[in-house]
Amino acid sequence: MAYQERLVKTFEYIAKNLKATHTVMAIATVKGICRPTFTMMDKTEKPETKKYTALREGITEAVAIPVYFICGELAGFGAKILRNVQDSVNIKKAKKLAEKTGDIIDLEKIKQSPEVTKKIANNLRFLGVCTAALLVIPSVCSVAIKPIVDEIIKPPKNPDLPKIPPANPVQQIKPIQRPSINSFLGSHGMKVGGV
Amino acid sequence: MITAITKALTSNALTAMATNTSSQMISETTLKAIGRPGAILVDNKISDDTKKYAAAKEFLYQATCLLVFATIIVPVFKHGTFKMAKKYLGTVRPEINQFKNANEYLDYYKLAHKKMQNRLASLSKDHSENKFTPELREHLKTTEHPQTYDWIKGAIETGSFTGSILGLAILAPQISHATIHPALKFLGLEKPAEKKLDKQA
Repeated sequence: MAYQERLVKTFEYIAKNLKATHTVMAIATVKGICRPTFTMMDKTEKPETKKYTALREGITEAVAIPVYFICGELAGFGAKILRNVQDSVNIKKAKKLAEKTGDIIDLEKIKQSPEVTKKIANNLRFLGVCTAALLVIPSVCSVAIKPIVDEIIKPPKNPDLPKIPPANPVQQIKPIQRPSINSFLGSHGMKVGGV
Repeated sequence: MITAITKALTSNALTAMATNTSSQMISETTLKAIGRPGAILVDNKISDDTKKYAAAKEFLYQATCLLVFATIIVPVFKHGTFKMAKKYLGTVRPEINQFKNANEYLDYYKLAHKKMQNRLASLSKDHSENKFTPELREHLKTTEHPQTYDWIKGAIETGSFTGSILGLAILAPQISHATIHPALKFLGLEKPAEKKLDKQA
């Protein structure tokens, strides 16, 4: 009986506090551990390729976790700004109306309720996570991952690819050889009539 | 302008998506399936063949995740958790027995969060006549703030959350590993290096 009540209370807590960022961060964490592990367990790939791929996958998820958190929380913070702007607009409108009618304004009624702010914050967090998945994480990964991976381990060389010579090789210009005095002294005896 | 933004951000459709783990994961995976291959295709540092290969691989991986999610996680974990909650917690909290399945409860939850006027309009629609028990319908029609039974929602979300982790982080990589390479071969994208050599020859 006691465990059932405790379970119900836990579920109630989860329903009220589960945010979009929690789910995606949890999945990214487990993915960051499991995907590289599975790659390293693959027996068909070369060890060099495995290391490279596993590291890439691990870093992708390691980048994704803070990006999801930052995007989600920043978007959630936007709810507070939105509330303040909305409240000021509503108060202005109410003041104008009160000037005409002569009524007294009840500021507490005009202001956005905390429940609505929480709802907006949750929805914005979800939109922030979506933006992170669509734009931020792919952009950050395409810029940051290759240099990091290359820094840790060199990428696997492909022996099948022929080496391409550089496009504009610097040509060494040989100095013009002038006849030295020694060339005149190469032969013995005296010559007549030129070199 | 600001009022329109606030209205859009408090809309019931967006709230339902943002508070539902399954919807969240489906939309996030769909966006990943667009964003990640897109970022690879835009990258100028990679050769065309490698771009196509990497983008197709990433797209197929995300598509596999989506498929795994829709076919395994939603039916097994979402509905399974509801059934388990009904079986083991139904004795302590009999309100769960009023709902046939997880979808019916989620529909009720969505309606309970609507304003009275909108709720009555939704309930008067033809297809929702036989949706809930007469007691629940009456409760929704007459109460300004109906009971939402949050713990049932929490149980469903816990199931979806666990299923998402198991499915997307453990099951999907295994399935994709087995299916992606044949799919890439079928599309003629496997082994880009060999292709390059052929072209150069």
